[in-house]
Amino acid sequence: MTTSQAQFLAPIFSGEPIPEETLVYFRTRLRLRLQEFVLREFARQQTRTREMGRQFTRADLARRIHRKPELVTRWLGHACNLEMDTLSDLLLGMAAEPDFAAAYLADVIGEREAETVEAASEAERYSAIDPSRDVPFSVEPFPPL
Amino acid sequence: MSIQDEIKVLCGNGRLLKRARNAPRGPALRSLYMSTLRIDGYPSIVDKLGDTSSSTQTRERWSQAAAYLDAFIERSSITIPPNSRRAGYAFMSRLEPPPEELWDIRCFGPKPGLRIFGRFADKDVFIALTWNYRENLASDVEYAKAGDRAVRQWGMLFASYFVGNYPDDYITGAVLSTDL
Repeated sequence: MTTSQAQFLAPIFSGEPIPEETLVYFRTRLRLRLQEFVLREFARQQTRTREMGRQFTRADLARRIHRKPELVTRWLGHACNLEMDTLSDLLLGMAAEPDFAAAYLADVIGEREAETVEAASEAERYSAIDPSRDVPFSVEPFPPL
Repeated sequence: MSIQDEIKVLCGNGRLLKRARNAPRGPALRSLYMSTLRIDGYPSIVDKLGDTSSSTQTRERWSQAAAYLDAFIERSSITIPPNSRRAGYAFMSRLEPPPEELWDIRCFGPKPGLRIFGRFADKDVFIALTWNYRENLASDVEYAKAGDRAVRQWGMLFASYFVGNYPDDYITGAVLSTDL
């Protein structure tokens, strides 16, 4: 862990009030991760339906959840402050719902202490693109649409 | 000298700083370096990220920017537009030339957000050069000025820049927003 990381994370483990900037950082991070999660599920759904000789577009998703396609485009492409209801709708439109698990920062970051970009081999970097890679939420989809 | 060697030298003399994620989760898929140089009176991105004396609102803007920079390093997918005129809500965009090969990371919150300008030194290696608040980029003229500043800063660091086929030569995991 670098000095700056240690300084940034220290208030989280101190038991004292967490600085507003830290709260903002993690809120933004969660939005970015949720957007990536929804985008990944959309891509997965597209792949599954393509394998069955069909298409699944954002317009299809929008129609299923009674929303405009441009809104779905926004939600898929942008780390906005998604409402819980919207998140539920988006996933249900893909016949899925999320499972939840908390990752404790002390454990997760401790495991990654030694990690540096230089240490990551090319193989590791590209295997990490695998859609099955760990994400903050997992999803168990129902059969393809 | 290879671009990687140039980056090492620039890190060695303090002109570049490799971004270390605030709270690493998962492997680093890409690298991001930040210029420490100031230009035209603008503090560097490094200055702004570490500035604890600014207003609460400003610090929060930069906390969000930090999350975007870290997301660039660790996200498996990066949304980009088919062209910058239709960037919409893409995470990154390559700006329409001129100037050539200039990209921005588009931090949307808190509204109106801010932009981090930079260039790729290699695939998945981004050099963040300059920044501007989105409200100061309302016109093409202001964007051009911001672009010019970033290009001049690049010239203070590197002699040449990376050019590739859009988008896969630049970013692993690029997702064109038209594919959504």
